[in-house]
Amino acid sequence: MADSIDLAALVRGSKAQWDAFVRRYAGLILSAVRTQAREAGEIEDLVQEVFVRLCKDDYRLLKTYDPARAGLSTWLTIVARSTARDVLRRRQPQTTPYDAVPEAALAAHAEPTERIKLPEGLLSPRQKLVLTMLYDRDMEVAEIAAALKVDPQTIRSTHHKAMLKLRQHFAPENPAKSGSGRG
Amino acid sequence: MTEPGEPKPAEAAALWRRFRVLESAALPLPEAGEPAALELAAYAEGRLDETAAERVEAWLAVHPERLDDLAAARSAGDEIVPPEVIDRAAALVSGDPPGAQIVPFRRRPVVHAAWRMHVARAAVAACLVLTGLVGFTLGAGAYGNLFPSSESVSGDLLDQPSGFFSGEDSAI
Repeated sequence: MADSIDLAALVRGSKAQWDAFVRRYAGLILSAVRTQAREAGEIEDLVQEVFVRLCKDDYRLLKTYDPARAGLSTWLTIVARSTARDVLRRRQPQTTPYDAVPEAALAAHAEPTERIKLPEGLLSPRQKLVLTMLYDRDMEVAEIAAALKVDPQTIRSTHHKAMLKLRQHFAPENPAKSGSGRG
Repeated sequence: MTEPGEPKPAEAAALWRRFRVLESAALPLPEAGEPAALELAAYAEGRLDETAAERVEAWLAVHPERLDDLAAARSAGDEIVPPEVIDRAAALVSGDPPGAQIVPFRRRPVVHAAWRMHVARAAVAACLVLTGLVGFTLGAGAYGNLFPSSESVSGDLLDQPSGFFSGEDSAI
């Protein structure tokens, strides 16, 4: 919500509105980038970078904001975190801790011995997302439900249906490979 | 979480890993572009329609680290900011002091320069004409003084026959 900030006047160049905007949202932006900074000294620089990005090129980014689609605080948080990520990426070569890489990504990209082709759309985007959050990010059902704004039972149901599809798809291979009677 | 007949968590995790390995080994599917910040914000607030939400979820499935952005957006905090941070950000936009009026320099219009040239040319022409008239006038007056208007040479010669042609004795 824009509160008393007149964004239209701001993007037209109103210094007073810009100052009010900074005072109103600096705290939110600082909170958004805090967890991304690697050290305390970086936080203030990241906040400044976010404001630079917002007013750059005659407020080009700020002009894309549409209050009919999302709240200003929500949008600013996402912009702030995206900006912080870009800044930090530019400052440091991209390296990823070994433990942060999902196991699937570490797997060797050798030709699988079983020539299984995944049919397109085997899992829906929502099913893939839920499984990613469950197994790659080790999130709890309640966390996922809160993140996706659905009921926890919906998450369980989505997981169940996804697993049924995967099991059905891989089932002909399992008895031949494992030889264990799972029934 | 498991239901009867459903793979146990370790097996479920193994099935998922197997799926991901095969998916990454397959020909790269066209990946949905990164959603704009506004679209992610709308998704975070549950304001997207089903199609748009699926598009965002497909992208999030490939970029799960961005789920942190959504979580942060939903629990947006507000911290106390040091004054120097505020001042530094505010200084990004400069403003005119109250009451100041910026008067831009007026460019010299090209039309006026051309007009002056025309005026100058006209003035030169006028001077030439004037000089000519004055000179003519003065010259005509001087000519009249040299040759008085009561007797004209040509008149004497014409009016008084010399007798040369008439055969009369001339005065000479």
